[in-house]
Amino acid sequence: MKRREFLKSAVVSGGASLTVPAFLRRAYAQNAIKIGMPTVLSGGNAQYGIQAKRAAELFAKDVKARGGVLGRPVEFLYEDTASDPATAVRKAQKLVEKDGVKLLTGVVLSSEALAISAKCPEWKVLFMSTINGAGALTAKSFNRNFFRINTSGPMGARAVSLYLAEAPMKRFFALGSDYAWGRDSVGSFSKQIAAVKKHVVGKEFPPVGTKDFASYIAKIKQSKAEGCFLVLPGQDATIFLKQAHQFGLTREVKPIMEILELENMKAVGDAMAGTIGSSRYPFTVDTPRNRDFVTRFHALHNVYPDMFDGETYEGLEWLTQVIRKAGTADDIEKITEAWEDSTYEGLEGTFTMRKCDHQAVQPGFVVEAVKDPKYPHLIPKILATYPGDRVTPKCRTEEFA
Amino acid sequence: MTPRRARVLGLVTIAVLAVLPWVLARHQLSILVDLLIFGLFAMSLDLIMGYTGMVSFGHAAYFGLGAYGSALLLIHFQPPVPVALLAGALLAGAVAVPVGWFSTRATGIYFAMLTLAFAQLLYTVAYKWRDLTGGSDGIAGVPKTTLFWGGPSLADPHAFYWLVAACLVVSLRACRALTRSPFGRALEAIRENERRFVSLGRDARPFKVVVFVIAALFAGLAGALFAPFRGFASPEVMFWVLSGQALMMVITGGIGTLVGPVIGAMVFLLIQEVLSSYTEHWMIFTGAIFVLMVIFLPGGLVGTARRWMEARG
Repeated sequence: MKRREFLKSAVVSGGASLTVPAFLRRAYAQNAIKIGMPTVLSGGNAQYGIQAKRAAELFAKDVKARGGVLGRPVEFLYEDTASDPATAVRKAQKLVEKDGVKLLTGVVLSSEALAISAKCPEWKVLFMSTINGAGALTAKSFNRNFFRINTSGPMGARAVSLYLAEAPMKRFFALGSDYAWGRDSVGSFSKQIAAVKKHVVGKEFPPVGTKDFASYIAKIKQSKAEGCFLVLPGQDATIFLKQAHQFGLTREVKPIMEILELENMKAVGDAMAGTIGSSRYPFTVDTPRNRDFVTRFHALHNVYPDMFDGETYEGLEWLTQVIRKAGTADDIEKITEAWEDSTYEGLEGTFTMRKCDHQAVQPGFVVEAVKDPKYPHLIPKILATYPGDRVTPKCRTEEFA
Repeated sequence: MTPRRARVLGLVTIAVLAVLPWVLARHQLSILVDLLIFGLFAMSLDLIMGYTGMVSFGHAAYFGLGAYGSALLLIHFQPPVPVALLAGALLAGAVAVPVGWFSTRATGIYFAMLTLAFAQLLYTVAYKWRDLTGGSDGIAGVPKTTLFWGGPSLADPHAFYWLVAACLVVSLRACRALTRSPFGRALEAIRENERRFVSLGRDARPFKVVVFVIAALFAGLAGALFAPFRGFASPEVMFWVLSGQALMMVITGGIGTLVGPVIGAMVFLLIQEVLSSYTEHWMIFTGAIFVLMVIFLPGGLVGTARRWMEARG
């Protein structure tokens, strides 16, 4: 019995001695509107979870200053999914069943989003995507409990394709991570490039978490492509770009990224200058709302907002606007109705929520990583802006008019 | 333990299982269903590990086959859940026939390596066969259908709990009966001294293949329950990590006790559940706890408890 007690106390004291991260210290505010974030906080995709969390922190500060939403405080509950869809469902279920959450957001990988979204009708909760790119979420796998605030993968591929249609490059290689987002975006890119009579000369799908891209780099070199379309998440993209630079690939083949992120620019450094790609939210966009946001964000976190900082903040702002309009944060049906066909003044322009597939229509950007002495790292310079109706697919499809 | 006391304990357990849904909150009930499913899975591994002395490093493959089998059937044809359970178990059992036949040609570490190799092969198939399995994205939206055609829906958390609890209790009884049958005695004889068993004029291999397939059937049943419960199946459910966790569950609970691995699975998952809500590095602690258990409780929880009770008379 003594030994058992020893084990017990060892476990308890061991667990307690670890500093409990701030995000786990839940302030059980009375009557708070709870927003659940089953996000990635460990491993190679943790930077996305950190972005979602940073945006939520600034948002929570703003809400507090304004006296809450419908007079209620907003509380965020975080869970780590470790990039695994099965774990993501389990953690989301915990948030719903144990914590009574009605609103989920902050999901990182599209595979996790597909798994969680399918469960939302059964759980009677809303799922707001601010990060998930897979086209299927608003097409084949759409359900009414799902809303996508962010630009989707096919939309990013569309913006890039529109830009490349005018560019001199003719031959492309496509490298996409082997899961929903990578597959969807490469598929979309291939179709649109073919439509403008240019060629995708090769496609590869490395698994998520690939550390050695040498064989892929060799294939890209052999393909004699002029540009390489990259759909790689976080750390994978950083590793690929570093290796591609070491192998001299980037001198011959222009990297074109489905999402061109600050995080990559910071990690890869000046070697990434000249890389182009689409951006779901470039912090350099020059609108009064965005200038104000960037200043306040930088004041709080001491970094410039990355893509999902912006998109998540916008999602949360829009969500509260809808909650105010619906007059409730608990009646899912009323919130859904208030959200459909509503508009929102976002940081980079006007957003409209399509009723038919819950995809937010918004402007699309193509940017280039450039040096600017005013900033400590490369920044996205906007090369082209496309209106929402040109970059959004036809309803509940991944096809474009 | 006397048979009488064992029977009383069994009845008490069933009574507790029957009362729990009325006591537990919804979230706790979900965790309990998880525990029971993995308890069933760990128990199935104990059949080959504890009773026949064959350590399999690839048992997750059959859990995964059961999960994919039932997930695909439920998604495409929406039959009643028990039909999907049967299909998942049979799929796992069917694949276990050739795997068991090949693997049992070897013994000891070579047997373990073969089972691991076959399991990773099946994992790769699940990962790469995108059109059927959805690749790394898995299959989402597996519905909890009905109990029988036109019967009551199992979407209700209580209803699904009853189904899982019933599956576990029936499986446990079936496995217990199996281990006490002449077949079960033969397995124990193989475990204790295979050469002697052979010298008595019996061939050990058919016994090994049959018990391997039976264990796969029960693992498949657990997987087939898991898919509609979580609404999801992905290659992770056949990954070697899960095979390793199953070994830890069996060892934690007590090898060769059947009920031990069920308890082992519960303890293992509960520790994980509690620790993972405090720290991302929970694996360090589960690892440490496991090491301490192996050193200080070599018979596992149930084995140690039994010895303790015997010592007290």
